[in-house]
Amino acid sequence: MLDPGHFEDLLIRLERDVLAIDATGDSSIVHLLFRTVHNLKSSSAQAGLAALAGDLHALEDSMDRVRRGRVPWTTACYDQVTGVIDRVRLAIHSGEPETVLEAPREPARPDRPAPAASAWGPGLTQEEEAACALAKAVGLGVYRIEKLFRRGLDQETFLGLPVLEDIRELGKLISIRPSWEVYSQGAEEQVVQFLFASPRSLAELSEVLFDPLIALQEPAPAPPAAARTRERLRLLIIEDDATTGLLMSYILRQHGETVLCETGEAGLAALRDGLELGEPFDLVVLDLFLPDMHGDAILKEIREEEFRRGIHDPREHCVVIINTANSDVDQLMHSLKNEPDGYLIKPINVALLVEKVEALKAERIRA
Amino acid sequence: MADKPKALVVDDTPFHSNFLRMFLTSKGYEVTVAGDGVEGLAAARKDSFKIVFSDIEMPNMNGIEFLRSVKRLPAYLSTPVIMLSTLDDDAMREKARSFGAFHYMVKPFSSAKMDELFAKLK
Repeated sequence: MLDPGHFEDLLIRLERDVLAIDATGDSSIVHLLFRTVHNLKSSSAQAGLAALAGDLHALEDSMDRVRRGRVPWTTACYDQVTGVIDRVRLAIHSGEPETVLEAPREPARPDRPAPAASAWGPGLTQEEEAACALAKAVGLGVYRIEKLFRRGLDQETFLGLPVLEDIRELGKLISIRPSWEVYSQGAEEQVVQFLFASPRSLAELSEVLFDPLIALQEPAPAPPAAARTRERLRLLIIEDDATTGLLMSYILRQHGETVLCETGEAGLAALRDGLELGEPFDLVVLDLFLPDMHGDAILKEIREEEFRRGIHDPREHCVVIINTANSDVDQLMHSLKNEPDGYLIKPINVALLVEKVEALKAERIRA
Repeated sequence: MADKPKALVVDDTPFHSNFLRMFLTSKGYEVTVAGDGVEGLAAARKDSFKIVFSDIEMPNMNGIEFLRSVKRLPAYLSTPVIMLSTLDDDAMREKARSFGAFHYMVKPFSSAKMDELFAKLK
């Protein structure tokens, strides 16, 4: 199973990257190093080079801690990598994997100064800095995921990756660096950073996100749950068809205070008033095709308004149910970029709507 | 003659996928290899695999993301997905299981480990 060419390729890659990180101070290169060390470790285990296991495991662990932002890159890291390169090379070419020498010690060199960086990371634009500062000001956590990519993903695949779906579900994406346009023209292997804000703690996010996640700012503690529950639900119907609107009102008013609006503008005004007065709507049933606006634009505005007002926890969001005559649900969900919480297909499925409202009541209203 | 059952191997290291390809071919499978989760998911959508093997540390879409995505495809709800890792870690094993993995195998592979897996699959 021993293929010296394969090992030599990995060692050359390690040398290239360790020199690059030393020369540029760009610590994101550590993701490439981690990846190569990881390959080297599993390949040497597969090839039966048991004597290297301890060394490679220790190096993988060190690189993992650096890539996760727990420790900085130092000359000791450089020495550890180059020492392991020498020992692996010796083991591969001597054919005597059991012979392991002490790592050659290079004299310690002073660390190069890191590139200028703000508290949120190096090279951020003013908009990104402002978004991070805003997130912090409203008590959100700010996080960065760093992930290794190979060139070649098309834009749709890139923007539809699970990591982005997860980020949208857990918080709000601030930026992707580099952008897809730059990534698609870049090196064969590159590190992409996803900057985002979330009300969740690092521990909660780590349950779902597997890639190296760096907390730049942990969220402020949430207020006690009792403060968030209310006496009754507030329900909004945005619907231009009079019959449907009346029928919906009839169903919903048995479950909470119900308001009916016939245009998108009126609906948004009602939503803003609710937020302003501290009586936000819990649920909106939204017709997709209104005379003045498309439902997707309204949905987007609702989410942005909530964000502006510091409502970041999805448990406090207004639940948005799309009501539509279009029965091609997959196409519909795909075309709705702003992620509604559900949909109803006309004619109205009363049982489904009531089920949704009852679930909300159980969650948000005091017994 | 009946068609051979199909196996999907998702691993970015040819060194490992070659081993799996050899082993699975010897077991009578027709093997497709994908270099990361994105390619793996595309292959899974296009074809119908009886068994799926996936590495965890991969570029673009890692193994856990791939596992979650493939388990969202109705055709793969009951398909055994075996996660491969160099890390013998209980937390990772539990995470893989909670997302629907059938088995978590610690590398290096050996014929004995693979035979044990196939005994479990029967």
